[in-house]
Amino acid sequence: MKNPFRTEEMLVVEDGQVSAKSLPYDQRTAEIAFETATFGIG
Amino acid sequence: MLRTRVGYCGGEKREPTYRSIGDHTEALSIDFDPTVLSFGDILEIFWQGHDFSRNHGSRQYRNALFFRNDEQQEATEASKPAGAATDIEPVGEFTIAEGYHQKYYLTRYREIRAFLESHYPTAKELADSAVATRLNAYLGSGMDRDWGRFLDELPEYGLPEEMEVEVRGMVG
Repeated sequence: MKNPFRTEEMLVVEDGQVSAKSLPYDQRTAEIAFETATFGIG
Repeated sequence: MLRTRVGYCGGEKREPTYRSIGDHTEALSIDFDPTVLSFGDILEIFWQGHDFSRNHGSRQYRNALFFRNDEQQEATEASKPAGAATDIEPVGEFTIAEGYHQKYYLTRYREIRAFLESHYPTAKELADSAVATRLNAYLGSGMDRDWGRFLDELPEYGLPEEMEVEVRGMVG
C-alpha cells in the first residue's frame, strides 16, 4: 500500500523485463537475449 | 553491452532509497549480449577496474560482485585474485535507483535528456533504454569510444533531426 506521506519517487525492483521500447534502437535491442552482471565499485 | 542501471542491493532493508539506503550497497547492473561479450570478459574488466586489495568501510560504497546464478558465482570465485577483499554475494533484490541517478552524464545535455524522458518518464524505463545508455556513455563519460560505430548507430536512435545533427556536431 502506498504511503500517503511519502513524497519521494516510488522505486521499483529489477524484473528481468525491458520496459523501454519506444525508440527504434530500443525496440530492436529489447529482443536480444541477455544476461545481467551486477557490481558495487565504491 | 546493452543497458545499464544503477540501484541498491545486497541488504535486507525493505524499499531502500538514496536517502534511506539502510544496509544496501550502491550498485551497477549491466545487461549484456553473451554472444558478443562473455561474463568472463566482464570479470576481467571488473577486477582490473577497482582496488580489490581492500574494501570500503561502509556497506553503501563497498566493492562487491553480486552474482545472479551458480555459473556467475563459480566464475567469480575462480577469477578472484588471491587475497582480494571484494565481497562476492547473491544479488537478491535489486532496487532501481531514482531517475536523477540514471544516465547521470546526460544531465549536461538538457534537451537530449528531456527528449529521452518524454519517451521514458520513469526511472526504470530510462534505465532500460539502450539509447539512453549509449548516449550517456558516448557523450558523457569522456572515455575512448568507437565514434564510427556510434555515428553508424545514431540514425536508429530515433532522435529528432535537429538533435541528431547537433549530436553529430559534438563528436566532430
